[in-house]
Amino acid sequence: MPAGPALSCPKCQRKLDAVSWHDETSGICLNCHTDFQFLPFPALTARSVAAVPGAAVPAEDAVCFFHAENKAEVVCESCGRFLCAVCAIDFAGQKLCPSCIATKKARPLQEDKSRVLYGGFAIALAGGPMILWPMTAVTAPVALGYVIYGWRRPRSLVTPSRARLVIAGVLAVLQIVGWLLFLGLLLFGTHKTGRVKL
Amino acid sequence: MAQRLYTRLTPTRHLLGGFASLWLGPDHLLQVHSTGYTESYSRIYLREIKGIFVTSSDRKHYITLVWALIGLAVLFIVMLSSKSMLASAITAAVFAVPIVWNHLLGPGCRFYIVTGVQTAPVEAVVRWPRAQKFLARIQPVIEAAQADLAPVAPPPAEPAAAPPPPLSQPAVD
Repeated sequence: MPAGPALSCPKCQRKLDAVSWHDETSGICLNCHTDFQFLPFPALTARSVAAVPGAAVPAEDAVCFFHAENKAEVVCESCGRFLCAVCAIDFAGQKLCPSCIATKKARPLQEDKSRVLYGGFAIALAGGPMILWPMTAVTAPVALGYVIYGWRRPRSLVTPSRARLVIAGVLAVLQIVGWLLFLGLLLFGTHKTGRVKL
Repeated sequence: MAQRLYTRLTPTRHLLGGFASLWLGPDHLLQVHSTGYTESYSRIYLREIKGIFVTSSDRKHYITLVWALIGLAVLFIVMLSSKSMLASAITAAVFAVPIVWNHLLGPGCRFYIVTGVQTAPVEAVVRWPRAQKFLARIQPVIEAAQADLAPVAPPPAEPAAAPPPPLSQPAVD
């Protein structure tokens, strides 16, 4: 059984205090009888170290923006305030002050929780209605609008290519050109026929 | 061209309402749920991963059962409508393909990553062989990220408390 704090069974959420371990890494939960493998990592048993601020020497040391009695040890990488060991928070690889984290000023673009895939919308609008082709008279300009609007917007974090936007743009332009030709031919053809008839 | 921050760890798995996949970032794992129109992300930082649970599931048996039932129903209809053995054989073969494929994918499993605040299910990993491959890939990465976290030895067991002295019987005059 791995040493460390009590874990919960992932299925029944009960503490794995009463567990039958087959060996070091596998066992069975005695509550729900779920067989499991468990792979522990050093973070399971590592103890977090509490930050201890250093006392500031007057007229010699810079002091923390939030605690005048504490010596400044770090500069906030977002707003530039001096911070003591208590106020410097390690956040996404940066040392930040609590107020910057609270206002999310320092949140990089890569920390987004969700993103809209304009390429998905555009390709659905440009490709889907081709089955009912008269719909493309309306959907093609909208798809082209999505392509233009989404071109400079943040893309997917994991597949950031513009391939879908390009395909949707080409399809939409072809459809619009097709409609313009059709309308032109319709108008021009009618005039010509009229002249011949006269 | 935008620089790719993430490396794919698992193939995209189709869910009922979208897709799930797992990616490796510079210092974290990124779980992606996509609908095709939006993507939502959840990050699990490598330094915060306390452990990984893998439990078995009956996924393989359920999928086999569903395909077999559908296949038998279609086969029954084909046999009623056509007396041809060839048509029945082709129908059986068509439905045998997903059943064999499901068998080749291996037994089902559920994969969880334990951190200090949550036990996050990984929806992109649902088969044991893939789970083993995935573990073999991320275990060294997580251990490297936690290299400076020295494991703390469990506190020594307290010595057994001395049994209380027997109660002295009050003297009876």
